[in-house]
Amino acid sequence: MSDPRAVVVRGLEKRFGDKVAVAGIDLDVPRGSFFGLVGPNGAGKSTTIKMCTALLRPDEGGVWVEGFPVWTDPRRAKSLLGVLPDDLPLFERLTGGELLNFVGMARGLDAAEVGRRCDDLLAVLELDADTATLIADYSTGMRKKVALAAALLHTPDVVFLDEPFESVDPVSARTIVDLLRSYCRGGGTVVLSSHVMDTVERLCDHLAIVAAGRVVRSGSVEAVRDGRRLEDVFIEAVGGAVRGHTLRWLSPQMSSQPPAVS
Amino acid sequence: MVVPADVVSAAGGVVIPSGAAASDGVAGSGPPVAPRRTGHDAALADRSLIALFVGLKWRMLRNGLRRRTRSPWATVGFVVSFVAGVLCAVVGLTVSIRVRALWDDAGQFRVIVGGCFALIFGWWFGPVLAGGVDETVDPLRLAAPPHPRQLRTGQIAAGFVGIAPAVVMCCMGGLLVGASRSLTVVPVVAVAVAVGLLLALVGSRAIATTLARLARSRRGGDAATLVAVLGGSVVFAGAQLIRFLTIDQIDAAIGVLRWTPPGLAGEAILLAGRGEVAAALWRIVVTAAMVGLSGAWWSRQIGRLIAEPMDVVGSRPATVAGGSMPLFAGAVRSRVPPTPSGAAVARELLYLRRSPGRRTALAAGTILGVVYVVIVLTAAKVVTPLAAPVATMFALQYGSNQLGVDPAAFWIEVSIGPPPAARWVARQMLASIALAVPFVCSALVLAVVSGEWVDLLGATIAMLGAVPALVGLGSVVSPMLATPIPDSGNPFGSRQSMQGTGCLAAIAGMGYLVAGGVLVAPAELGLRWTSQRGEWLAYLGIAAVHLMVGVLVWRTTTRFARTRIDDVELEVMHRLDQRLNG
Repeated sequence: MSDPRAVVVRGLEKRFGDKVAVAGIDLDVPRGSFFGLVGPNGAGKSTTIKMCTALLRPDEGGVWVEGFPVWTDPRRAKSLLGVLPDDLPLFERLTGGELLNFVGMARGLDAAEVGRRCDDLLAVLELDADTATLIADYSTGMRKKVALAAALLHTPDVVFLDEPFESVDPVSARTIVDLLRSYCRGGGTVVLSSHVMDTVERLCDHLAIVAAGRVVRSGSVEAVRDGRRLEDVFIEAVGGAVRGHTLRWLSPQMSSQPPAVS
Repeated sequence: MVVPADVVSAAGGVVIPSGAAASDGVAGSGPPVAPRRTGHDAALADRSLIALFVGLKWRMLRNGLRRRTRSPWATVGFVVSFVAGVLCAVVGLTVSIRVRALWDDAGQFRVIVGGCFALIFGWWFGPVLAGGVDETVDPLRLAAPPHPRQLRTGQIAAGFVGIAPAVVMCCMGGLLVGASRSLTVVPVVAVAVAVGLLLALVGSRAIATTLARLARSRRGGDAATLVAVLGGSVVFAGAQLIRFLTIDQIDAAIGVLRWTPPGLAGEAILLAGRGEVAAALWRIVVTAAMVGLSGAWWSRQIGRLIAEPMDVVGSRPATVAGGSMPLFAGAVRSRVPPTPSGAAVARELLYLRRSPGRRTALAAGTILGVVYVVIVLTAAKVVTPLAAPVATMFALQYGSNQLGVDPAAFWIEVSIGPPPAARWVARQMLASIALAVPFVCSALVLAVVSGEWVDLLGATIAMLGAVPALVGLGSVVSPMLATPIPDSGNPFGSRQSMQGTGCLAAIAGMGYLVAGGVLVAPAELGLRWTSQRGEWLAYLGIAAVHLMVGVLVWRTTTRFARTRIDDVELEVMHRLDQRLNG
C-alpha cells in the first residue's frame, strides 16, 4: 500500500546566525489535502516553505516529497513541486504568457502542451485580457496570479503557497480558491501558509500551528479546533494576546501631550 | 426633516459636533469646525535633524557590516573599498594641502578647477553609476512625516557620512590649507569649499530623486537607466581620456569647464585663496544660486515623487505578437528550438529587445571600448592588433558576472531546476555578444584607419578563440562573485555601494581582464609575427591551435560550471536576494 503522505518533514532546523528560525519541525501532509501552515509573524512559516521547496538549505533534518528526498534528489523533487513565494520577483520584462512559456519549457514540457496550458491558465485566472502587458506593469494581485499559474503549469503533485491571498481582491481570491480546490480534488496537495485564521478555517482540512520555529499543534482542522473557534485555539497555542493593555496616549481625546505648533 | 445640531454616536454616546460629522460625510447643517488639534507635525530643529540623519546613516553602514547573513566576500569587498578609500583620502588630502608647493599658478588652476569639477560631477553621477544611493535620501521611505521636505537638512548631513564622501571632503577640505595664501583669506576659502560641497551633494540628491521619480513607471525607468548609464559613461570616459591629453588640450578643456557650476566652485576656491575676493565672491554667489536651484528642484521632485500617481510618468503596454507560444514568436525567436535551453535563449533575446538598460549597457561598452582603443592607439602607440581586444574590458559586467543578470528572478530557475545546459546557454550568449561586438567594432575602425587588414584577420582569429574561452571562464567565476546587475534605473533600487559588492566585482573584473590578456596576446602576437615573415603555414597552425585551445577551455570550464551550479545556486540566490540588494 502506498504512503498516504505527500510531504514528510523531519527534524527541520534553520539558524540565521544566533537566531533560530526553525527549531526542529516535523510534519506529515496527507496526499490530496489542503494543508494550512499557520503561525504568527516570524514563526518560521516562510523559512519552512523555502526549505521544503529546495530554496533554502536546512541546517538539520530532511524533507521528502512523494517519497523523494528534496535535499539529496532535488531535481526529482522539484519536478513534483510548485511554489509561490511570499515576495514575487519575476521576469519583469516578459508578459504573463511569455513567463509561463518560459517556465513550462524550462521544466521540459512539450511546446504544444505548454501553449495549451498557458492559454487555459491565463483564461481561468482572468489574465488573458492583458496578454500584451509586461509583468513590470502588473498590479500586485496580477503578479500573484501569474506566479500561481507558473507554480501550477507543470501539474505538480504538491504546491507550496506562501500567503497566496495577500493583496488579492475578493473576486480573484475566489477564482484562486476554486482553482486550488479543483486541483486538490484531482489528487494534488496544497500547502499554504497564512496568519489569517478565517482563510485557513474556510479552506484547509489539515493544519499545523507553528510558533517560535516549532509545531505546537497539528492534525485535521476539526481535531485541532476541538469544537472551538480556530482563532482562540491559535492564540492559546502561540501564547499571545494578553488582553486589557491600553495605551493612554493613543486616545486623541485623552492625550496629555500639548499639540505642537507648526 | 430637522437635522440635529449634534449627532450622537451609536457606538459610545459621544457627542460629535455636527460640523465635524458633515466633514466626515455624515449629514449635518452646521459650519465646518476647525480641527481639535494642530497635530504633532511641527518641524524638528535643524540640529536635531542633522543628528537624527547622521545617526541613521552611521547605523545603516554599521549594521550593513554586522549583518549576520552577510557574505564573507562582501566583507572583503567592504574592507578593500575602505582601505582604498583611506588611501585616496590621504593622497587627496596631502595633494590638496601641498597644492601650492607642488604646482605653479597654471598647475594650480588645472588641479583645483579640474579636480573640483571631477569631484563634484563624479558625486552627481557616481552613486547612480555605482548602483545605489543610500536609503537616508529615499523620499518614499520618508514620505510618512507630514513635511518630508523639511527633512532635507538631515538628508544633506547624512550625505556627508560614508567612505566616498569622506574622500571628497578630505580632497576639498585640504584646499582650505593648500589654497589659502594668508590667514585672512581662509574664511572666504572656507565658504567657497562649503558651497562647492553643497553643490555636489544637493545636485546629487536632485539627480537621484529625479531618476527615482522617473523609475516609478517602466518607461520612466528606461529613461532613468539611459541617463544613469550615459552619465556614468561620460564620467568614466572623462577619467580615461585625461591620461592621454596633452597639457594644452587639458588647459583648453578646463578653460571650458571653468564656466560650469562645478568649475566655478573650483575657481572660487582658487581665487579666494589668492586673495582675489571680489572675483571669488561672484563665483561663490553663482554657485550658491545653483545650490538653491538644485535644492528647489530636489524639493519639487520629492513632492512629485510622493504625491503623483505612477501613471502620470507614463506607462505604455508592450506590443506582443504570438498566440499560445508568445515566447517563441517573432522572426528570430521562432527559429529557436522549443527546448529548455531554447526558452532561456528566447527569453534573453526578448530582454535584449525590451530592456533599454541592457541595450544601453552593451552600447555604452562598445562605444567606450572603441573610444578607448583609439585613445590608447594614438597616445600610447600600442601595437595595433593588440589594441582591439582591449575594447572588451568594458564588457566585463556581462562577461564575468553572468549570474548577476536578472538577479530578482534567479529563484525561478532554482525552483524549477532546469537542465544544467539551460542554466548557462543564454548567459553565455549574452556574454559572447558583450565581448564580441566591441571587439569587432574597434578592430574594424583600426583596420580602416591603419589599413592593416592582415592584422585585422589575426586579431579576429585571436578573438574567435578567446571569446569562448572567456565566456567559459566567466561561467566559472560568476557563481563565486555574483553581483546583481539591476534591470532598473531606480537609483534607490540597489544598495551595492553600501554592501561592498561593487568593489568586489571590480576586483573580479580585473582578474578576468588579466585572464583575457593571457588568452589573446600570445596567439595574436604569434599570428602577427608569422604574417610579417610570410610563414603562412605556421600562421594557420597557430590559428588552428588557438581556436582549438579556446574551444577546449570553453568545454572544460562550461562543464565545470554546469556540474557546480546545483551546489552553489542557493548561495548565489542569497547573494542576489532582492531584499538584500534592492
